[in-house]
Amino acid sequence: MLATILRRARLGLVAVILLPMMASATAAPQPRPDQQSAAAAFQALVEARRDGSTRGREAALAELVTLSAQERRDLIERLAVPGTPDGIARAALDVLGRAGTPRDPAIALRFLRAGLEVEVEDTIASIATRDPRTLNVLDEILRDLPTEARAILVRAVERVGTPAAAGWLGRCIERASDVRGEALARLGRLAQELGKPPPADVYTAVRNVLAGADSESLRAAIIAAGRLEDADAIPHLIAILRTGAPGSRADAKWSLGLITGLRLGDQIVRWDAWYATEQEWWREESESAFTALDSGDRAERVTALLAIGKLHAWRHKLASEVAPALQDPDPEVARLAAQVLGRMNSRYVGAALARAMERPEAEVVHEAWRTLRSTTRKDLPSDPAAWRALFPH
Amino acid sequence: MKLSRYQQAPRSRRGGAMVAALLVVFAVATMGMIHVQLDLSKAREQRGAVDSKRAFYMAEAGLAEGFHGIAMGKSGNVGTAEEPARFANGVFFTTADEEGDGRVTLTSTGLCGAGRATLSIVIERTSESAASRGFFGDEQVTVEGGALVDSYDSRVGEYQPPGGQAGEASGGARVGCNGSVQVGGSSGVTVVYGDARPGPEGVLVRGRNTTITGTTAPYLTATALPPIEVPSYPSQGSVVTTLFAPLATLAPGDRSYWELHVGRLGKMTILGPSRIVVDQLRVDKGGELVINAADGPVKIYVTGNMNLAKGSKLSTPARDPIAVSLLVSAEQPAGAIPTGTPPPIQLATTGSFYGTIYAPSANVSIPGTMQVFGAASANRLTVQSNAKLHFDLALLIAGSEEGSLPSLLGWRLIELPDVAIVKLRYDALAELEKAGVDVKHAKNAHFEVGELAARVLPAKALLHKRNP
Repeated sequence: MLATILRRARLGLVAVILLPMMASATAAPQPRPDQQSAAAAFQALVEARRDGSTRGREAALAELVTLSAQERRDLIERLAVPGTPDGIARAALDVLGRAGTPRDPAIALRFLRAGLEVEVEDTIASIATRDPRTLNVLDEILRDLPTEARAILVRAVERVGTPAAAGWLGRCIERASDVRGEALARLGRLAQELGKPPPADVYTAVRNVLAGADSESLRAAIIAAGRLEDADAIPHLIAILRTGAPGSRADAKWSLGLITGLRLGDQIVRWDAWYATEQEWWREESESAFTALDSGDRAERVTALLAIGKLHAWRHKLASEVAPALQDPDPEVARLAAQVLGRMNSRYVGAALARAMERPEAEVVHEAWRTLRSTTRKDLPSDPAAWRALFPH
Repeated sequence: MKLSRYQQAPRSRRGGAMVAALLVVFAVATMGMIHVQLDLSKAREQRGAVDSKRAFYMAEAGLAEGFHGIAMGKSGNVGTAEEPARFANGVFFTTADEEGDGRVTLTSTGLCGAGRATLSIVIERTSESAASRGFFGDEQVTVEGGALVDSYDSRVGEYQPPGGQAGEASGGARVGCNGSVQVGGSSGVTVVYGDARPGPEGVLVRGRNTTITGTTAPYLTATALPPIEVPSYPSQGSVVTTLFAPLATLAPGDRSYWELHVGRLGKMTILGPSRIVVDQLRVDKGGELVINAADGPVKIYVTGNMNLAKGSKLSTPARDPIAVSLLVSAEQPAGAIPTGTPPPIQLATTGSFYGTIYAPSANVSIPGTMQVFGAASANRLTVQSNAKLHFDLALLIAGSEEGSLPSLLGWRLIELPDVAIVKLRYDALAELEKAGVDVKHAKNAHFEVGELAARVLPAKALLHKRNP
């Protein structure tokens, strides 16, 4: 009985808070009919959420989504004040998440308090996923936010899961030292999920931390470099392996392993020797090898592929050079190219391999299929359509 | 005059046949000698080949014994060059070298008669026991600000705080997760003397004033937490302590209860060796639960709820983390737990717990009033502010609960080691016995982890005397 009274009293509170706010906002003695229906829809949303009614929630949200952005913003902004009950705050964030515009993350952040972090993060992630321009707005507001709010932004942007989001995290690494560690950690994970490399600025931002004096973020940068598979970070990582603290050395070893596929452990001399050899190849032989791959005769193309197949650094760059050979008129060259790509284990040439599976030669198709399975770790059949669906572009 | 039937040969020609016969005998004898020598040589050769083959198999037996030792949770070292292990009519000694990343190189030298052979394999401890993962979460691990996670080795001695010489082992702590790991908060100094590793798709987020001395690299593969197989025993009803009957002792043995409830000011002692299956385990404020594994291990399977209330006390006087296990098979309800419904595990007790906590489907939050010496695995693991966790390195090799074996990565034949016993020209076993050395059988010659260095090797001087 008492619980029912309290519940009804809480619902009444929504109306008590909302309607006078809306009335004062329009400086009118009585709220307009559309405002009344918006308030009623919002109240219905709060009730539906409280009762766990998915249908009621969807119906209320559908009605609130039809409001203009400004009307919706007016409605929500007035609720974004300290002391708003959590249930109402959650409903407001629900509305923003469903129909918010790039300007609305700032309003969502006003609801940030203990217990609502996840909802605020969800809301911002939804808005930013729906409209990529949100990232530019987040750039603008980042500077003035407290650490907790910045951390929420970092988490939300990671969930957007696009190269542009990775770019935003890269900018965050440079601008927001208080959340740099978290941004690095999340950038690393995001990079592993992207279908194409993040913008070049991102790599630079991570390398700057590796070379800088921010010891707090160094460990996170080492891991991020590994997850980004940034071959340009190898000299930094070898330097850390040589002089870093034990924990940093262990992380650097892990990252070097991930970038190169080599397991040379703590043997700095071997890392140095290997890196010098590969650099020399890029300096002395890469140009002729790429030319041979592009326009050489069959023997030159095969020799170039075999030489490239022995390398470990800059795997993705090499893979992008090798990928066109999958369409080589000579099936043996195409098969070899697929084999070399399999050894490189680059996740950025999936589309080229999927196209190679459409070739008529069984040996090329088989090798491309094997490479796709090993690089994607997906057990799809040897059917070009299945792989094309995975790599639509 | 009657002549002799056979005319005697002239004196000068007598004995000629004897000479010829002697020559023949000598030739036959020589040939016989040569034949005997050839036979002996052949026999020696055959014996050598047989000994070499036996030594080879002896070395193989040594590898198998070391492998078996590792599977049992021992070091993998069996016998030593000075005091080898006996197997049938030969001896062997096996050394185990840790290579990191769970890999171990086993090198075995077998000696049989005049034969000697040395073999080497690399094995990997593929599937670790749940306890060897340290403080592990399936979905998430949170180490709040002000918490301390370090390690020690219960086989070497009592826990020593990090920093001093005795606390050198403290850097081997393991904090890991299949998902993300959060270490540290906005307040307090948080230290992990060891690794803090997220899962393959997780991230490690560090708060302020956080130190992690080991690696923070994500695991390359996720590790499933296997479900608990709860044994079935006849039910003994419930044991509840009251103000009028505050003491209860559960004798050693395997049994099942509906409820074990330690009331206010009550004290319940569970004696090992025992395996207890209980649906509800409750210790109220002021109550004390004593798990005494001094005489044998204690495993407590909780199938329903475990509630060790604030102000209660949990103690494990045997101080042996390997001997005490709390296994909670209850599942964490999906989503928010309704008001009034207790979560599967409520841990707010005070005291030092030596043992392992394993709750693969429930969330565990270790309070700041508690010190855990051992390990803990849960669906979500939270280490509250000021809690102190000390991972016992002995759990790394304490054997796999899943019964998995190490996997073989490589095998090779290598050169004989430069040790005295290998240079002996005689049968090593016979020589050791002649010298009065009590050569142990292989099954009794295993070394525990850390034990080898402390051994006195009585045969060393003897062998060096024979082969300076």
